[in-house]
Amino acid sequence: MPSKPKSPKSRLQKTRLFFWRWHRRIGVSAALVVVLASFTGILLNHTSELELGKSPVRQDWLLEYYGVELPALINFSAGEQWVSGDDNQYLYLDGHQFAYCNGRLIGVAETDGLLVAACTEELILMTRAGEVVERLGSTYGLPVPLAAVGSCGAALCLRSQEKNWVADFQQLVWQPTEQITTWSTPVAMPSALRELVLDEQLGSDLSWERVVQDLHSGRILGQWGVWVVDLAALFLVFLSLSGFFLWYQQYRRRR
Amino acid sequence: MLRSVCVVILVSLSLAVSAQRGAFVSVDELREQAFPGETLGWQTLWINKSQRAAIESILDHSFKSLRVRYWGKDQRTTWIFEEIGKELPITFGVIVEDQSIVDIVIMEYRESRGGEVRYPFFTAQFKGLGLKGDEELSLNHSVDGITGATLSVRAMKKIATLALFCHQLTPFSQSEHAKQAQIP
Repeated sequence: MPSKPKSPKSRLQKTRLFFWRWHRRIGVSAALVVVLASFTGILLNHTSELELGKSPVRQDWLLEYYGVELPALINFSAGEQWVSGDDNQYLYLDGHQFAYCNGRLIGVAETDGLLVAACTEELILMTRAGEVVERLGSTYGLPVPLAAVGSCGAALCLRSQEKNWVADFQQLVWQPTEQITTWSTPVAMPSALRELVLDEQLGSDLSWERVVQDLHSGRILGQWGVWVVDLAALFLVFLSLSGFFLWYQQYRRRR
Repeated sequence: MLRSVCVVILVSLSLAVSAQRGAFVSVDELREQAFPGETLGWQTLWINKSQRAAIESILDHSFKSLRVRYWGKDQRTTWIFEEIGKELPITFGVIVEDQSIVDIVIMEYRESRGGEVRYPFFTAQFKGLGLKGDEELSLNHSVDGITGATLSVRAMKKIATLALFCHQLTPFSQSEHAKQAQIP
């Protein structure tokens, strides 16, 4: 028995039903991406006022996600103060950068009211306020590379070339010694201090503007994120067409 | 044949580069050159704020140290300074007497090019130079440059000026007569 031809009305109803169903489904599916893209779009529109380009990202997890390596920090206590060094050879006193050191920081000691930061290739004498008084390297006969620094009685002792040396900072003489030395050893860095150092050290490579841009385009999730945002854009196109169709149908029926 | 020529050229080039770098004068040798037969201890020159500003204007970059070491006797002082040529520090030794340079030597050269500045044909130009005046911190005579060693030449000029300036700040810059006049 031949099937009865469909009336134009029933075909229209089916199309309408199809659009209703998919308008809802696609609307729900695209909602999250659309909200995210809208919100980030607003932020990008006002990036100058919000100074996103100048705002460095400080969050460890986000920097790590972007492959920005956190500097390895080493920390020594000097009385009530802290001297830290990073793997870019910058030194910090109580979390504030004060000098560049030739070599890796290996210890801190005190002599004649001055702090002595010992790096593998030089000694930096500084005040407790962080002013560099003098830098002493191999030019001044310092036996390098230094392996350790510490106190031996009232003097300062160094470990280099598998020998211990006592330092005379008046005449810049380094004499081998057998004195018992209390060597400076690294200590755990208080979290607040670590935050302070990272705050000075990190972030210049990654701004919030870049992160918002990547969120907006989906690039933050790699190539898949871009495809997801592309799909959401196509969904938006569908939603606008289906929305118009459904509105037009209703509009015609009312008339 | 071509390979042999290339190898010879490469070896010659590497020898030329390594000939530029090196430690040429030790601290003890410099002291012996400046004060033969003397065993002098280090003197310390403390730098105040205005002097630091003057030093920074000579060097054209910041100068962080609060004190500088030198040797001094009679009216002669000897200084050791480091200054970056192109990328790496060059260690200079400067002997100053009576407000003028007696000698300037390169104690250690670390750059791969420009090491010609250590030869006497170039350093001889600095002998006898002084500062233009107390107010003007520059050399009182021009120094001919060397092609390919412009930055090392510039570094040497800065250090020569710096040593002359620092010499002025020491008690050794005054004549014996003036020094004795200061003794109560």
